[in-house]
Amino acid sequence: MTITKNPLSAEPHSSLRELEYKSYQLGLLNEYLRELTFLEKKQEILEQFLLMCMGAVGTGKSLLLAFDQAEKPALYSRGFAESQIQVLREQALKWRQKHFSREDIQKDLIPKQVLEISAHQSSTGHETHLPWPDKTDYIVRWNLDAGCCGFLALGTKLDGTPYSDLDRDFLLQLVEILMDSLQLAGSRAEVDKLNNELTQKNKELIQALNQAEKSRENLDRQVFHFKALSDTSRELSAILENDKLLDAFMLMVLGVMSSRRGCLIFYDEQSDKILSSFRGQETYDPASLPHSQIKDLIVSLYPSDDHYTKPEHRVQHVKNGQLQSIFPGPGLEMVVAFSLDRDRFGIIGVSSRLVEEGYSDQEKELLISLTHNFLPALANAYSFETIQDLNLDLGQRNFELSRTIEELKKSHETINILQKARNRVRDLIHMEASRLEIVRVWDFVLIIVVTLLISLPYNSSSPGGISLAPAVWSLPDPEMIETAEAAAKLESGSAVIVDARPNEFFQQERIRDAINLPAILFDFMYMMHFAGLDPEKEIIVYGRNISRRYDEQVAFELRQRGHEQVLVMPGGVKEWKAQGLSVSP
Amino acid sequence: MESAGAIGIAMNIKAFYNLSLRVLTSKELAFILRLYIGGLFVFASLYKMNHAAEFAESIANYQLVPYWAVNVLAVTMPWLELVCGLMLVIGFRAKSVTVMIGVMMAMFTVALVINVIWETPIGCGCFSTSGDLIGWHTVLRDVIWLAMIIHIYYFDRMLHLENRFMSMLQKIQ
Repeated sequence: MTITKNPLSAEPHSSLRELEYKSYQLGLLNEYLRELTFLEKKQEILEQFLLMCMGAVGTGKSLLLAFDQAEKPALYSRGFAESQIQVLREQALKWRQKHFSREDIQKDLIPKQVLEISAHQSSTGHETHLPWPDKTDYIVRWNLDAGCCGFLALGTKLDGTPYSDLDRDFLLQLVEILMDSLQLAGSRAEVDKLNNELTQKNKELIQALNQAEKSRENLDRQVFHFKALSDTSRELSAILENDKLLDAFMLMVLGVMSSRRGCLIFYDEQSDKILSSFRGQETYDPASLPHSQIKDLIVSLYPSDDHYTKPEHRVQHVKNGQLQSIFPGPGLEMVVAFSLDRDRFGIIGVSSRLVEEGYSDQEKELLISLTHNFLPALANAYSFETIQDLNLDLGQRNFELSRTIEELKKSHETINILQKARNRVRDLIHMEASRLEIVRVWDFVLIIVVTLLISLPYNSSSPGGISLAPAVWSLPDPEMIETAEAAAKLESGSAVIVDARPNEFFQQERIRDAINLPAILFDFMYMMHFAGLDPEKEIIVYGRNISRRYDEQVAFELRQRGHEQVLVMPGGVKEWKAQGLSVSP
Repeated sequence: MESAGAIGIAMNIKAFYNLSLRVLTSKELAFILRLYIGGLFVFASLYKMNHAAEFAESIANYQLVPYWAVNVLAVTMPWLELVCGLMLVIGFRAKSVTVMIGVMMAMFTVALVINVIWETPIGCGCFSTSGDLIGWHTVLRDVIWLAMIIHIYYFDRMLHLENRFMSMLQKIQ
């Protein structure tokens, strides 16, 4: 049951005293309101309010219990026994847990509400009975909002009178003022809190801004570093000669680091070469440097052969102290050793910077990164050198090969010519060989010509030589006689008939009564048969064949012997027989 | 047994036939015949070339050569025989020479045959003017010589002066 009472709607028939009391109370209310609104802290408000209540109603015992979001309820008491307050404090804790854990209870509560509750009995079902201390006479429950509520308990009045309506109205109004004040204080605290937070955030913002500024600077620097790195990679990768590469890298490092001077020494143990590049003011004399010491130093950085190629060992920082003894004069501030492999390593160092500040860790990192980028270019240059050497070698071999090919071609041509010659010779021999096997007209011509060339001169010069022309050609033409006429002359006996043929033919067949007178045996036979013959007697000579004209020859011989009537009968035995004349034997 | 004996004989005959065939067709035989025929021609030419007049009479006796050619033939024929005989012996242009000699021998044989048929009472005149009369035996002799020449033509390939040189060349290549 909620009782809301306007203090102004109290007894209508109030006396003047009552009015005065009221006016006094209003004055108090006004004063309290002013006082409380000045207060900022909740505790102060609550404490002050407790005192105000006691003073206003005239009681020695009062208690203010305030619950808010905090774990522990605020409990202010005056005049009550401490033990009972302690009990209440514990119970209040439980009540709070119960009350605040139940949302339905909170929902039922109306904001900014005050209600009186009985001191010794629970007024509603929701209320949990709190063990109020003894002599608690009047209790108001106030409810500012869901998160803030509380109880005001007052003990009996000092004068022993119960609380009048006026008092109760006044108290209720007072509690309302308390709530207002609390709300105000809460708002103020909220504002303060927000203000504080704002200030804090502002500070953080400024800090963040500073941080951002710093980051930007860092970023700029890193961008510069990265640019330097990429430039290094790009520019160095284009250079293919070792010494030029070293020079370019040295210059680049000096530029990026803005160092006064720098040195780069590279040892190539394989070909026993030292490449170096010195830049900047007061450079070192390469010949005067203690190379064995430097080498020892570098080698000492690589505990085993494997370390030369490990990424984390390929490029290493060298501590300054190790170098002071080696490099005379103003020392190098930052030195990095690097290695390509077991036999090729070097160091690069830079002296102090042109700008005031020294080298930061980032610059050290950058130098290492730059050197890391430099190594592939260096390896590349070495590879290029190898390739060039190989190329040169290849070119040489190519040249030799082409020369060999040329020679081969020539040889081939020679072989071809020889082959052709051989074929020709073989063909000739074959031809000659086959010529042996065949019979040629030219052979006959040759044989005949040779024969003529030998036989004719031989015949003309030989004592047994003969005339080539027949003997009868040189004789005068004899007188001829027909066979029939000759037969008539023989019949009349006016002529003798002579057979001029050799004796064999005469013996074989002859004209009857013919006398054999062969040319070969002419002298002998003439002596035998014709020595006594009358030179005027007619002589008829016959005997000739295709090969010989014996008759003409013998007729000539007879005329030589003085016989004038010598006639030749060319018909011979053949015609004689044909005319039916007699032959013998 | 009889059949085995017959087979043995037949085999012997066959072996003998093969052997004789090999001997008859051998180049060695051809070489011997070549020397013989070559020598024969050389020998035949020697007398005649110094007694051309007598040889002319021999030619004339055959009554086959026209009277105007007799002397020319008598002068050249012995030299032709000599040249051919020598070439055959040394083996120079042997094939052609063999043909030439063969032709000469054939001509002689034909002339002989004709005169034998005519029964001409003459001597052969082959080697000298004196000698036996011609007859079928001289024809037979010439025919044998002609056969020898044919044999030379077909089987002679040994010890040719020319071939020797050529076979050396053939070995070289």
